[in-house]
Amino acid sequence: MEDYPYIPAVPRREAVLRRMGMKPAELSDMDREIDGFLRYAQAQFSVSGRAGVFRLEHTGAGRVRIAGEEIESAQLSRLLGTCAEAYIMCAAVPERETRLIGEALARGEGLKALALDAYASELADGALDYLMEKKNIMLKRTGRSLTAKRFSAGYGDLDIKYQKVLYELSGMSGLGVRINDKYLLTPEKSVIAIAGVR
Amino acid sequence: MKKIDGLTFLEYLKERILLLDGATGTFLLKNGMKPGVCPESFALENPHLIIELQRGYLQAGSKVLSSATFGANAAKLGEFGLSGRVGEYNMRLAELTADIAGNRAFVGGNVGTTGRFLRPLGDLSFDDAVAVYKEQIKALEDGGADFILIETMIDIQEARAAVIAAKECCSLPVVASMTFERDGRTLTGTSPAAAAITLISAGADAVGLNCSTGPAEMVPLVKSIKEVSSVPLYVKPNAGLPRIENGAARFDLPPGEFRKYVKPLCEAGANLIGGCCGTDPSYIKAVAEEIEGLKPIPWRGALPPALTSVSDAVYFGAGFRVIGERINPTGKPKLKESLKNADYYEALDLALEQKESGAHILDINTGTPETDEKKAMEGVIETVAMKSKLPLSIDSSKPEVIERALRVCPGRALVNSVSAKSESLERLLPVVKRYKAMFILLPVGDEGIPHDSKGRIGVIEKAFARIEAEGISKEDILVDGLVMAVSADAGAAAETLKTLEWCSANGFKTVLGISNGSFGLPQRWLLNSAYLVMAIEKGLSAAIMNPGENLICDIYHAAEALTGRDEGFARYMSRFAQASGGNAQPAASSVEDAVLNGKKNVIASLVEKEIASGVKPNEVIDNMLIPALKKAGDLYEQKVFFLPHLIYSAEAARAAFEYLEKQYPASQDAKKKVVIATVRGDVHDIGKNLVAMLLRNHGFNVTDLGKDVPAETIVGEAQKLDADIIGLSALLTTTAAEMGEVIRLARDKGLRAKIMVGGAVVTEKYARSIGADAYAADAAGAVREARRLTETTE
Repeated sequence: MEDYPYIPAVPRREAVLRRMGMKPAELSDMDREIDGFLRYAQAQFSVSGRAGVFRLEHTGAGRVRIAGEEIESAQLSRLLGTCAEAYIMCAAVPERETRLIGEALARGEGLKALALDAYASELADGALDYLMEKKNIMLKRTGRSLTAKRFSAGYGDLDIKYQKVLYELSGMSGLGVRINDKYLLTPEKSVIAIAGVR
Repeated sequence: MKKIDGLTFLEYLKERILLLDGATGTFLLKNGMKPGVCPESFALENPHLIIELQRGYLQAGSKVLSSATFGANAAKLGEFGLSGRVGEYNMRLAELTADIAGNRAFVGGNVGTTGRFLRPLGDLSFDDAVAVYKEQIKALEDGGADFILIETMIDIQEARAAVIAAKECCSLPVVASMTFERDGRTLTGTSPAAAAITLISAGADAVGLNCSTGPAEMVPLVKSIKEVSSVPLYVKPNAGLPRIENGAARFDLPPGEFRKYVKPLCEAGANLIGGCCGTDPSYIKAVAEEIEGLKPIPWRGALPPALTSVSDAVYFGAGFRVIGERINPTGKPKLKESLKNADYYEALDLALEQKESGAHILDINTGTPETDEKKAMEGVIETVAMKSKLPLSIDSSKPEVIERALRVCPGRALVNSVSAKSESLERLLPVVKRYKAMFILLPVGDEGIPHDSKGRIGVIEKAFARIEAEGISKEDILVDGLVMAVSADAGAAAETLKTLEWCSANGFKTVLGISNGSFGLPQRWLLNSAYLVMAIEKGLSAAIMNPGENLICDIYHAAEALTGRDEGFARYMSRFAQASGGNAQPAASSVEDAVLNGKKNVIASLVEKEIASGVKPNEVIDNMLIPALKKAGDLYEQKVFFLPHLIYSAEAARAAFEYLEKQYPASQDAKKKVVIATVRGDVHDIGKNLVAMLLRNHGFNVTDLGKDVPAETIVGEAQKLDADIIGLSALLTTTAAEMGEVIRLARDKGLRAKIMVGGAVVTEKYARSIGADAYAADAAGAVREARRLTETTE
C-alpha cells in the first residue's frame, strides 16, 4: 500500500459553492463571509490517504474478484472492463478537524458549518482525484493508465455492504477511520473508491 | 570535460540556444514495449531501438541526448524486483548513449521521480531520497553523462532531494525540470516561479519545465520562470495536450504546428529546448530550423529578494511583509512542552493562526534547554511547511540547526540571523551560500552593538564587502535596523530609523523586531504602532511581529497605502472591504430587509427602532420576522434563494429573536417542541443539524439528540418532553429502515407527536410507507412541514 499522510488537494471555490447549493457568480456580503470561512477551512482542514494496486479477476457476468474477495456488480464489472488490476484508494479528513463543523453548528453558525462541510467533502473527493492523477503520471511511462472514472460502494448496483471489503483491502483503519455494522465510515468525510488499471 | 562546437555545456548555454532531444518512452511503446514492462530493462534488451532513436535525434540536430534511465532508481526498479541493479543499469544505459553521442552531443544523465512522496506527503525521508538519487547519479557519471538531467518531477521536495544529491556526489552541471499541470502548478501545488527559485537555491544550474502540456500552454509559464531565474531555462513540451484513447495517451500536435511555438518559447526565455511525450526526430528537426539564428535571452544576475514555500514565492520590496513571530517557545509553556515531546501540532496551530491573521512568512524557533533543537526544528518544518504553505524563517543561534533546517526546508528560507561578527560570518556564510538562503544581517560587529546609526552603517558596509566577496548578492539580505528599548535610551528609535533610511537609499531590504522598542513601557501597542508607521515611511521591508495584533496590522496597511507602496490601495481595500462585509455592514432599511439580506449585526437596532416607534414586541415577530422568514422560504422555493441564503436569513432572524427574548421575555409565545435525531446506525448529521438550526431560528424549541440514536431513546425523550414533532434523519438505505422502528414504537406508546422524516435516500413514498406524518426533502422543507404540522395541532 502507498501511504499519503498529507494530500495537498485544494478544492476549487466554485466546486465548494456548488456543493453548498449556490451560484458562484453573484457577489454579496454573504459571499465575502463564505470566502472567509473557506480561507479558514483551507487553514484548518487536511486530508490523508492510502492506495494500492490489487490483482483483479473477472469471474463471471457482473462479477469480479479483487485480492480474493468476490464482488457482484454489473456496473463495476463494466467499469473495470478487461483490466487485470484494480486501484483501491481511500482518503479521510481527520475527526479532530471535522469536529469544527459540529462546533460551528453548536454555536448557531449555520452558514459557516455549511461552508466547512462542503469544503471538507470537496477536499476528500479532491484527494481521490489527486491520488488518481499521481498514479496516472506514474503509470504513463509504462504505457498504462487508470480508468477515467472510479466507483464507490453504495452507488449504482455496487451494494453498500462492499464498503467493508474495500475498507479492509485499503487498510483504511490506518487512517483512523472506523466502519460500523451499517457500513458507514467515521469520521464522516471519509471516502473509498476503486478504479481499474488499464 | 566535453566540448561541443568548442564550448562546454555551461559555456554553450551562454552563447546559443541548446537543442535538446525528444521523447524516448513513447517511441519504445510504439516499437514493441508492452504496457507495464520496465522501460529500462526493455531498453537494455533492445539497444538497437535506442541507437535508432538517438541517431535520429543527432541527425535532426540535437546537441543533447538523454540516457534512457528515467526510472532507473532503486525505488522504481524495485517495482520490478530490480532494485539491486541500479549501478549496472545506469552505467550501461549512459555508456550506450555516450557512444551514440560521441563528440556531437552532450549526454544528459536522465533522472526521474522515485514514484514515492517525501514526508509529510508520503513516507520517504528526505535523507533516504537523497541516498536513492546519489546511487543513481554516481553511476550515470561513471557511465559518461556530461550533465545530470532531473526531469518530470511532480513534487518540489523530491526535486530538491535529487538536486542536492547531484551537487553532493558528482561534479557535473545539474538541470532540474518540473512538470506543471493545466492549472499552471505542479501536482503538489507549486507555482513555476516558486519551483524555479527553490531549485536554484538547492543548486540547480538550469531549471525549467517539461511534459504534461503542449508548447502553447507553456509560454506563460516560461515567462513567469524567466522573471525570477538566475540560471538558463529548460523547456520540453509534449506534442500538444494528451488525449486518452483506449486507455493510452495520444498526442495530436503535428511538427508543423509544434514549430510555431518555438520562437515564442525562446522569446519568453527558453535557453534549452526540445520535445517531450509524443515528439520524435521530425519534431526536433522542425525546432532546429526555428532556432536557427536566434540568440539566447540572458537570465538574471541573481535571484530576486524572495522566499518560497511549497506553493508560492513571497517577494520583499513588493509590499510590506509580516514575519509571524509566535512559533517560539520563550514564554509559551504549552509549545515548550509539546516540542519536548516531539509533538508539533501546537506549532502547527500557531502557524495556521498566524496565516489566518495575515502572516506572509513564519519564523520558527525551537530552542529550549530541554529540547533537541535540531530534531524539533526538523519536526516543525516537516509539519508546518506543507500545511501552512508559507515560507519559513529559521531562527536559531546554532549553525548546525540552521544548516539542517535549510537542507530539509521545502523552499528557499530566511536565516534569522547572521551577525556581522567575524566568527558568525565565517561559520554561517558558507551555509547560506550553499543553500542560497536569504538572511537577516545584524549590524553587530566584533566590538558589539554600535550605539548610533553611523556606527551601524559602518558595520553593515564592512560586513557587506566580505559577503559580496563570497558571491552573495545584496538581494539576498535583509538588514536588521536593531530596535532597542526606548525606555533605556530615548534616542534609540531615531538611530534605528536613520539606519533604515540609509539602507533603503543604498538598496538594502530591511527588517525590524518591532515590539522590542516598547519594552518596559505602558500601552506598548501604541508605541509599536507609531514605530511601525515611522519605519514604513523610511522604507521598512518587513517586521517580525505578532500578526494577531489587529490594530497594528490595520495601521501598517494604512501606512503602506499612505506612503504609496500599495498600488491602487489594493491591499488596503482588500483588508477593509472584507471588514466592512463582516463588521460594519451597510444599513438595512427594515427588519424584513435585514432578515432577507442576512444583516445579523444590525437587526437588533432595527427591532429596537420599531419598538421605540410604538410597535409591540410580539408584532415585530408576527408582522415582520415571521413574514420575512416566510418570504425567504418562498424565494427558496422559486430558486431565487439557495440554502446558504436561507441560513443567512435565519441567522439574522435568530439574532432578532434572541434580542427580543432578552429584552422582552414575554414577547414570545410558548414555543413548539421538536425532538430531532439521526437514527441508530447512522453517523451522518450535518443535514439533521442544519434542520435543527433552521427550526430554532424559526422559533421552535428543538432538542437535538445527536446521531446514531436508538429508537427507545428518541421515543422516551419525546414522551418526556411532550414533543409536538419528532424529526428523524437517515442517509442510507441500510439505516432508513430504522425510522420505521421509531414510528412503530411511538405509536405503540401512544405519543401525540407528529413524525417528520428526511435524508438522502428517503422519498415521500417511503415516508408514507412507514407511516410518517410528513416528509421533508431539505432543510427549508423541514421548516415548512414543521409549521404545517404544528398549525394542525393548534
